[in-house]
Amino acid sequence: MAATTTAQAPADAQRAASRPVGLTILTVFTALMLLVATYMAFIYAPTERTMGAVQRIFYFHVGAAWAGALAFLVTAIAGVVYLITGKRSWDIVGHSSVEVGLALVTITLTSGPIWAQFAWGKPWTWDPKLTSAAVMWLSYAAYLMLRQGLDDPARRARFGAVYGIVAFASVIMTYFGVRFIEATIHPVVVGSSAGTGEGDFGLATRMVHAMVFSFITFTFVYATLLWHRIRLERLSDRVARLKAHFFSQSG
Amino acid sequence: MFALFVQSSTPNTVSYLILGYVIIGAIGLGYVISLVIRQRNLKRDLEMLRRLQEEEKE
Repeated sequence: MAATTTAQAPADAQRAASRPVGLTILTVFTALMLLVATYMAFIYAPTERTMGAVQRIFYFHVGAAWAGALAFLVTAIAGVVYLITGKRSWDIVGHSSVEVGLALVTITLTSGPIWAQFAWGKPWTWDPKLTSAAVMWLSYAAYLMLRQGLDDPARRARFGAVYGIVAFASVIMTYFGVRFIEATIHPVVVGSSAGTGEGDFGLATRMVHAMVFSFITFTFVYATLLWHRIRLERLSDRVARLKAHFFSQSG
Repeated sequence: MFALFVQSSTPNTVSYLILGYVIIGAIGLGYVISLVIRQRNLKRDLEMLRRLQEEEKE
């Protein structure tokens, strides 16, 4: 950027602001996938006998949980790669992925209690799975807040990388660790558990289809939002550089 | 007869379902709107900087 001339800088920034065709196609495709996933959750999948319609929340609840975990995994990997290469682009990926992941996990943590209100008679319990999920959410919310408190970009990126790797322990605990704790009442929809879940339900074939489609859809939702968020961060970088460039010239 | 029994024993939890998806939709839409607003603000900044540079050249 040091070699960028005054005339080139706005042109670069202008280019960064225009949306690539691939992103437009991905966005439209993801929107269509969401429509089909909604159809499958509401109409295609049969109604669960003991809980009724409220069980249909699980298709998006679990899909968002999966995509949130994927987002935090990407942040941890981006953190490792940043610490090795020191490239800003990996810091952008890690930071953007945390923000998107946090939005997805927020969907999981707010939709679950609505199901729980019916299944357990209360929206929240300090069950190991729920507590671990809350700790995970707080860890990543803190990541975003603490990052903002650091002015030096290199220090901020290093902090983000290390934090993203360490915080991933909360994801492992939430998604895998609690499966071995017998005290949990949270049902396990995918894989085996200690078998103590309250509100457990078997999945009929069409329910499995809807669940798998929801997993795929939320993977696309994550990829689309991540791409948009990365572009936003790059645009923000360019505006900041342009401001610095302009004020250093006029000053 | 069996279908009728199943239907009558299944609780009506549609209101929970609607509330759940309204919240899911609101969070999803809210995040997308926040991305759009931030991008719009950055583009405005970009445009302003471009104008300032052109004015400076003149």
